[in-house]
Amino acid sequence: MSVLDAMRAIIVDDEKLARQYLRELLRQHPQIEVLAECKNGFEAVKAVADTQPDLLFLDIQMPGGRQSERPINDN
Amino acid sequence: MAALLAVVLNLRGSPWIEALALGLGLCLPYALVCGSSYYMARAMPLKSVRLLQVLTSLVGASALAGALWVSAANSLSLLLPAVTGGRLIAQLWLLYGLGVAYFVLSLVYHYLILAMEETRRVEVREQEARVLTREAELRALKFQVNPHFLFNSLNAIAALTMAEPEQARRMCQLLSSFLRTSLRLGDRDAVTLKEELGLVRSYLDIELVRFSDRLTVEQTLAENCLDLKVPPLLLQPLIENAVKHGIGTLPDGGTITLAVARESDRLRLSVENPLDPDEPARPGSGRGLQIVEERLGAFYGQEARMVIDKNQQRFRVELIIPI
Repeated sequence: MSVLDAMRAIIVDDEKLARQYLRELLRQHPQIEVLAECKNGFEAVKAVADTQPDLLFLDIQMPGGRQSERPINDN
Repeated sequence: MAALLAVVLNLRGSPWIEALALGLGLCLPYALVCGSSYYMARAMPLKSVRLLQVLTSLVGASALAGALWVSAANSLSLLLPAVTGGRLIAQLWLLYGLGVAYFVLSLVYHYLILAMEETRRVEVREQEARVLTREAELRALKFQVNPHFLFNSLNAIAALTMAEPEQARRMCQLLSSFLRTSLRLGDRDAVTLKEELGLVRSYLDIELVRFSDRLTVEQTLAENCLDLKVPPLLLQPLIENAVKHGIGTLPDGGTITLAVARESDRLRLSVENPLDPDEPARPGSGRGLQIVEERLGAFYGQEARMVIDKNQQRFRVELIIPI
């Protein structure tokens, strides 16, 4: 898999430290490209609609976490 | 008993002096015989299984004791005819009746005493059992560090290690200080409010790293409360609850308000946090508060209480504790 067709991912977590950590871990995987970071479910729904990522890292224990599952799936 | 016998003898014709002397002389040794009914009562408890047997023995013993007494009186009057003048002989049946009655009374008395002692023993045992149960409850409810808190803190440290090693180190120190304090306080029966607030502070320092500007804390502390004794680890779980179920559910966070106030004979500790009205309750919510309430009950019985006041936007919990 070349970098060109890398999986496009979004990180969603309300804790800045957790996002930072996940991004760091993903840096070791060149086949995954992080498109955006969101800090709650509402931002996530919008980002998913806008960018149509291949992969989503979603913390469900955060503001709007669980409520975002359905609209994201609908996308 | 002796007086009664003297009166009866006097009525039956003996002069006062003689009646009194006989009453005393006969009754004092007999009191010892009646005293032995204590051992009978102890050896033969009134249980329904052998009740008939026991009652028969008791009646037999009473009859025997009466007979012994009468024969003793008879011997006495034979030995000292000058004193009694044969008048005692005439009263032997009366004496026998009294003897049996005294023995029966003494039996009843001793059975009552034994029953009372037994009741008291049962009460003491029950009380001991209650204390033991309470201690066991307290042990079971003893504060345990919430595994999620530990897990979140370790993840935060992992996140900080590369980007901000200084901060990661500080976080390790904060966590270690919190764990040490909670173990130390948790082992004690009571701590000062100042110590408990220190633990709360060290807990909040850690959460402040995780939540950064999403979490603010306001404190109103009455100075004259700080040396009061409270059960350990009552306040910290309330704060943890406010962080987890309040601030943690709000995208922009909010302010936790902690207030400590003293009234004439009680202490009021309250923690208030904003809520997200649309957020469904997270699993595990309420368990921490329930444990705090159970511990309050175990420490203070009915004298302390926990009051929860909740509406759409805010959650407030208050502990009212006797001083």
